[in-house]
Amino acid sequence: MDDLKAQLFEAYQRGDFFKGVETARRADVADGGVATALATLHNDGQIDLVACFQGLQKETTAGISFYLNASAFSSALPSLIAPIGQVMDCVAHLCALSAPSGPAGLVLEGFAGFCAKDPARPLESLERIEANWEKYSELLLPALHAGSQIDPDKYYGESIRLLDSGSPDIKRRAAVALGALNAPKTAGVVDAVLSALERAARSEQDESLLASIVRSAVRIRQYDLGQESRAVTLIDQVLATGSEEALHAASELLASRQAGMPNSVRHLLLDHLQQLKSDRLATLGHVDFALSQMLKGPERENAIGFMETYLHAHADLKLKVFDNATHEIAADLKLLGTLLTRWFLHGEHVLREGIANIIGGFHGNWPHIEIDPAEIPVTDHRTLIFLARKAVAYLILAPVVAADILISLMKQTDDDRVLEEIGSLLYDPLLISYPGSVSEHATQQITIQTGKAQATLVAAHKTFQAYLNCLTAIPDTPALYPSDEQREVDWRRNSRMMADSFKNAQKQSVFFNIIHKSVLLYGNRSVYHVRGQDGKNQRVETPMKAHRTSTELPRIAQIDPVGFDYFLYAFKMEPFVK
Amino acid sequence: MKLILKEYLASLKERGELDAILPDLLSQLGLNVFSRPARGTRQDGVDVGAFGSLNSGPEKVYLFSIKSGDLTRITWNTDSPQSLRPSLDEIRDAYILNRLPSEYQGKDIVICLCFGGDVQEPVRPALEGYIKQNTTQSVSYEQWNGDKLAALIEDSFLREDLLPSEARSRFRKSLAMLDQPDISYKHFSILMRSLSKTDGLTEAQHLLAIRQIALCLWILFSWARKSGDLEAAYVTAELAMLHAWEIARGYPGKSKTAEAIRSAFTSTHSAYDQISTDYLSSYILPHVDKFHGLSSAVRAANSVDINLKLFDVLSRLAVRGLWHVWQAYTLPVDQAALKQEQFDSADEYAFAIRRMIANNPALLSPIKDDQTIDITIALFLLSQNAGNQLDMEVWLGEIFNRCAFAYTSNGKYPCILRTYGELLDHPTRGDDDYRQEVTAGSILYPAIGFWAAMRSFDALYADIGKFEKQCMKHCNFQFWYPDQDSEERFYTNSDTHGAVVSNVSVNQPKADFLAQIFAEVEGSPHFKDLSAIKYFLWPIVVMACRHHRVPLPIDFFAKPASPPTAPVSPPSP
Repeated sequence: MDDLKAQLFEAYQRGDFFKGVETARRADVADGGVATALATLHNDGQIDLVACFQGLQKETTAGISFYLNASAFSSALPSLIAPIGQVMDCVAHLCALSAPSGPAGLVLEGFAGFCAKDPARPLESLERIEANWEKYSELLLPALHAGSQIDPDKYYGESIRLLDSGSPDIKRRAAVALGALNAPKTAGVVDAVLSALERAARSEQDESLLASIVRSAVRIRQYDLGQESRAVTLIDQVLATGSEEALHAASELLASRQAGMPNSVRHLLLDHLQQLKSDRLATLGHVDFALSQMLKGPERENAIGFMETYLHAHADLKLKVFDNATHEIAADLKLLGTLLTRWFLHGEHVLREGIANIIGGFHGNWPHIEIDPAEIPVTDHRTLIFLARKAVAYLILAPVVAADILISLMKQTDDDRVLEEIGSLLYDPLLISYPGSVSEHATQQITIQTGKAQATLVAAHKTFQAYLNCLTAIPDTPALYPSDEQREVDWRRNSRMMADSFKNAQKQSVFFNIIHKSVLLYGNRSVYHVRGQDGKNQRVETPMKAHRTSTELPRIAQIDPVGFDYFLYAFKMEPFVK
Repeated sequence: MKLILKEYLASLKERGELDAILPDLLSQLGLNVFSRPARGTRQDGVDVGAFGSLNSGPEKVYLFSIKSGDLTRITWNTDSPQSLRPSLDEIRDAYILNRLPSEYQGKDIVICLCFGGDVQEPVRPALEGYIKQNTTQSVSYEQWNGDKLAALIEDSFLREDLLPSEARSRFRKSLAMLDQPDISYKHFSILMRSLSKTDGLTEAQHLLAIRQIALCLWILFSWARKSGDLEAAYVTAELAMLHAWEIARGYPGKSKTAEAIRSAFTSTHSAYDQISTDYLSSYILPHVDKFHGLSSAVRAANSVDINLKLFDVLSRLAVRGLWHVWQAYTLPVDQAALKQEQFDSADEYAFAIRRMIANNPALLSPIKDDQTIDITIALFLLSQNAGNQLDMEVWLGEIFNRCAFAYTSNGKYPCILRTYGELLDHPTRGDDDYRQEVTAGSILYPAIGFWAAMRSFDALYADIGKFEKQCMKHCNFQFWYPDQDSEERFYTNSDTHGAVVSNVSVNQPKADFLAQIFAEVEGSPHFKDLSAIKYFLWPIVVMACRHHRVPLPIDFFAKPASPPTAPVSPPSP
């Protein structure tokens, strides 16, 4: 400790104080030693830490880490003995310096710690803040918070006072404070807070204030469960205004998964988030995260319901907007099967397409998905064939999954007519479009399945074999082949498209944006020499590896592209007639 | 060149090949051919008979018995009617005594043993013995083997002064590049153009040119057959036919030269017939019944390859069928059985077309507007039999539905882009500007409208009208008609020709629509003035349309019902 103090003091004397703090902070593994040393140097009168940091200017931060210095000061701040006014000036100065995205929060946290050390400090701070709002506005929340650690009820009262009578900015910050203070000691405080929030909700239209009211109402209700319905009503009223910031606050609350948030509040927030505009991507991001969490537990159906309703109302969006939620669905194959069945049967195009995209995301490592019989109310001809067609149309690029769905549908019926139709869908388009993967899969499934499903599979595969035999019996006919010139043009076109898509992928890649790219013209290893810390050259060798990926495209798209599009379109658009 | 010729001669078959080229060769050598090969009639061993002087020698009667390939034990003397020795006996015992034209009786006779290859050693003693035993003062024997024929052909047709070195080089290149049909075709077409450019030449030079066309085509065919790929042969045969007609059309009379030219044209036609039949029967007909069979056989890299090839093949089938229809109409009424045989053959091709369409769905989705030409030629054949009415309606309906769907969904809808690269990328964009640009004109939709109107496919006609109104207002629906330049330019495609009636609307009562179309037909003599129409060789016009990508004249379908039923002094084969 003494060494550290000595080092810091020496740096101070050299006029290189901030660099010294940074160096010490970097070496301070225990994370605390520097703060203690600084506080001691200050309290011992060797260094006026507050004055030092008050003198810190943007220009002087060149070459040093402002963040490390500010965090060191913030850590030391609660232990300092210094006049409140000087400290407030210094903190306000550092906040201004670090704005808008700097470590102001750290410094304010330190200031709250400083205030909480002495009951007089919050009060005095509050007086100074109100007296010079422009200068100290940022310090209101830490001052109130520090006060609430000492006497919560008193500072709830102060916050209410400020909410009722302050300027718009003060009101906004007071409303935030009401949701951030320590728990009140007496039950009546919650009632008073709610009353103040209600008054503000009635009289104010400021978006930030309304957002703060929502946050505070959600928070305060936990301190008096008897007031829960009142808080819920308040939240309902505020969110009903459609305030975008309030909705954003609701999404944050939902995503934060606050312990003890009752379902009534959660449902309320979800309900109101339905009015969220589709271009509010940040808010949707929170909702997405919340939905992904809900999908894991008993609230799954609410999450699914939200997505269904929201996407229905916002035709410009796709299921992918709920990126985390779709990952969650993809991770749970049973849930995926359930949603596939439900949405293919009754869902809208956007949901069916969403399912197809989720499954497409498996990129050839096709999962085994079955339909969920519980989602099929009646296993009649119409329903099963409808589902089969939807599966074929939407999953044509995930043919093995489509085949699995057809097979699982076969298992739902004994009706020969239905089985024959499903079998014919398996043959055309799946087997004839994918003579490789689907044929192989069908062959495997024949050995696994039993009964009529097996018989249907065998029949479909037999038809396919006959088709294939017919084609393979046609001798090579060069007279029908495309000319060499055509092949050349096609090859060039494909190369160009591949190169373009590779370039686009590289542009979007975070990895490619941070690495340096070297082109090797020959060989399959890259050797280079780097100078080590000992000054000697070290030989580094990087072996190259080939990365390959393959995609199987449906043959039918080549043989009959328009017909293929037409059948996909017809199957996709076919309505379910009850 | 002699090696090329020998190879060619050795590969020829007797029927329709060696005996097709020999009369031209003899004529070119200055002999008067008085007997030509004929099927179904008794020949008494003589395939070709000619009279005259060879190499400035005395005038003699030359009687040819033709066998293909090498002379072997089997082709020399077995029970087979194709054996040479029995034919020679027949000539001696029957032909010379009973069938030799009276004006040649008493003349010296040379019996020529003609075969494309060589005499195999085991046969030689028997052959020489036979010749020695049967040679008399007035009857002698000569062997016309591959070597002799090749030398005669080279001297008569392909000598440097007869076929310039540039043309010989083109010809050799087209043979060398047979495995790349488009390149082979390119060289052959330059050769054809040089041969059929006969302005300012004498009749004899015209005759030589048309014989050279025939010979070149036969040679190319034999090489292509050997290589196992008739694609180049097919396209060059079409071209050769058209260029041969370009020469032949100038000789409608009955002069000696005109007859000789018609004979050479017939030889070209025979080659074309054989190539076309071989091509279709080898590559296409066996597979039309297989689901996706022909589509898969294309070995395509993309859907455009399949689409282009199948529509091309479709019209090849149809043209073949139409030649049978034509053949049927050329036969006199009293040959009802033969007539019916030809109609049946045409029906077989029509049936093949129906099967091909049913099994290859690409034929429901033209990607190029000019594939209307192939569709119309196929419809021309199908329309020859009332039994195809329903198939025509279904096919046209499906084509229209898919085109309309592709257009509205921005799929691969028919466009006026021509190059392969452009078609691969089509549609490059989905905006209206692009769509209107690539569908600025169309012969497809009005053609479907025309057939719908003519055949009373009323629902289809109404649908096209609606589509025109809703989506195709920007598109110039048009019909092409021949004009005064067409006769000169049609067959060799030497320049653009014809006139277009623009902005024809299907969105009007069909009677008005048809009246508008036929008014132009009635007001113009140019279709009837086309030599191929005048001389009742109308399939040549169809071929020219197919080959040079010109719309089939609507005149073919004008009332009274076509094709014309009475030949007008045809220079027919």
